Amino acid sequence: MNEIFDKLLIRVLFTLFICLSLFLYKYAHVIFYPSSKKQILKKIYPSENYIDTLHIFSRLIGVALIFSKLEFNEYIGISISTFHFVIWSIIGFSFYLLSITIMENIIFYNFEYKDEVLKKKNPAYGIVSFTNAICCAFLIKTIFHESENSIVILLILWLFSLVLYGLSTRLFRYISKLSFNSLMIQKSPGLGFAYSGFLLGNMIIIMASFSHEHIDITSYMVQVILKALLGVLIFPVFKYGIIQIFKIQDSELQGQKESSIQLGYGIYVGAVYLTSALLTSIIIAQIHFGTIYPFF
Amino acid sequence: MNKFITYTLLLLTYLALSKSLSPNEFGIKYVNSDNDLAGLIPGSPVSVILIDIHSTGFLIKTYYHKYKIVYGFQSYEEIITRTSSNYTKKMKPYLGMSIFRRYKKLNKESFLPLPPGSIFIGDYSFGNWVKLNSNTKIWKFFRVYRQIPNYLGWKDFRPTFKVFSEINKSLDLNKPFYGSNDEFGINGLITQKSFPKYFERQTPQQGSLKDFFKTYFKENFIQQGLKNE
Repeated sequence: MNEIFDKLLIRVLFTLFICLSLFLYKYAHVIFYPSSKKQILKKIYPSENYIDTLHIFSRLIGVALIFSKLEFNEYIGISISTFHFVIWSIIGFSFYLLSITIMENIIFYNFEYKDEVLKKKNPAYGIVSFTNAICCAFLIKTIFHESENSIVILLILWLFSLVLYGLSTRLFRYISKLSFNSLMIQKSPGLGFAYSGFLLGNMIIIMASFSHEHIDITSYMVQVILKALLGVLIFPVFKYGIIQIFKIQDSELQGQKESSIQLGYGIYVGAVYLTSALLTSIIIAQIHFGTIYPFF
Repeated sequence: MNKFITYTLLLLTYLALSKSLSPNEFGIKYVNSDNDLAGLIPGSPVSVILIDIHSTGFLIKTYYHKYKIVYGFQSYEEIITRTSSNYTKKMKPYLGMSIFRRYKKLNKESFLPLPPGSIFIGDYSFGNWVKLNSNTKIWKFFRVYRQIPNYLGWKDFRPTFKVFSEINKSLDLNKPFYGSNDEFGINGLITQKSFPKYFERQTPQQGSLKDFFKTYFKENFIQQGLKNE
């Protein structure tokens, strides 16, 4: 019984420790987002501005996602495992917040958080920002897994994933007729859904590209590039296939400004992109050819 | 049209990058002729036995050969090479046979398929002829080389003087020799015993469709379920 109580107590202590880490995150957030200092340090009233709620909680979900990857190994000693957790939490926070800052500067280069969220309450901005935060968290989680506790490999993979993800965000104009800047100004939720599907799809393909075993970093990176390129080749086949199989007509958008049409089109673009990306990830990450050596 | 050109360019880029950067392309030498093989084998005297043939791929096959290199004065080694369909077709009948040898004298080379270790038979550096009661002479390796027959996969094969004469005759006629009783080559009994992996893969899996489904569901659902419990 003593042992059971001891284990329970350790779990409770670690729970409190994670809460403390979240408290630390709150202040880390201020370093990267000085403009939103007032919002995050003051009391939050979720019902007042749902876009801001979406914005703040997307980061919280992201942090929880990264935390869910970290491990406590009590058997190596409480102090060592706690130290390990603190170090990797700080690394995780830093990479995550840096990723979001960089990606938001790329995606929203014409838009400001203060204007779009606090003043205009722009849903398109809120949805895209939410998805971007989640995507960044998933990418960080993936590279945490692949780096296997090596800070050098983590740094290389983080930069590499950021380049791939950043480049992929610039391709939106090739997959959709929606104009990002003009629809963002019009606060179109359709754009939000379309761009969210696009970001999630890119994130899934990049994550799939990273998911293979690595012995040395160079050949691993080469494999990631090859898989990403393979994704670019396979993706259009699925997208075209879905459009043909379900007889989707997307030509009626031209010249129409009605918000319901934009919303429908946005959902369609996002959903088809996400579906195609998920199916592409099967092809690039879940087909295993094995090796001839064990059988030969 | 532009989309089609872009897609084609991307496809070509992918293929070029895969070809030049993929780790699968490294480490395994490509052998498409006898001379390519000779280039991979150092030293003399040496006998190279084709011990396995394997192909991977579903529609477009890649062929591999496994060779056992038996040296006169050191232990054997095994190498795997990538090869072509035509070369595989050409070499398949000679599975289990020595398909290349380099003599100590003047580094002379021969690609004529012969029983494994033919190069050592009759070479007095490695052994001598022993007369049996039946007046038959058999080749016996010196004690220091007693492992060579095991390396060659001879099992109970003991080369007689008659076999030695037939080997020399084949060399003169440049005609493959599968052993007096065709013990070697893809249909040879000694080959099937000594290098069974190829033959194991060729044996069709026994069992009916009913057995397959029974085993499949048992392994994937019933036993898995019990393990989870």
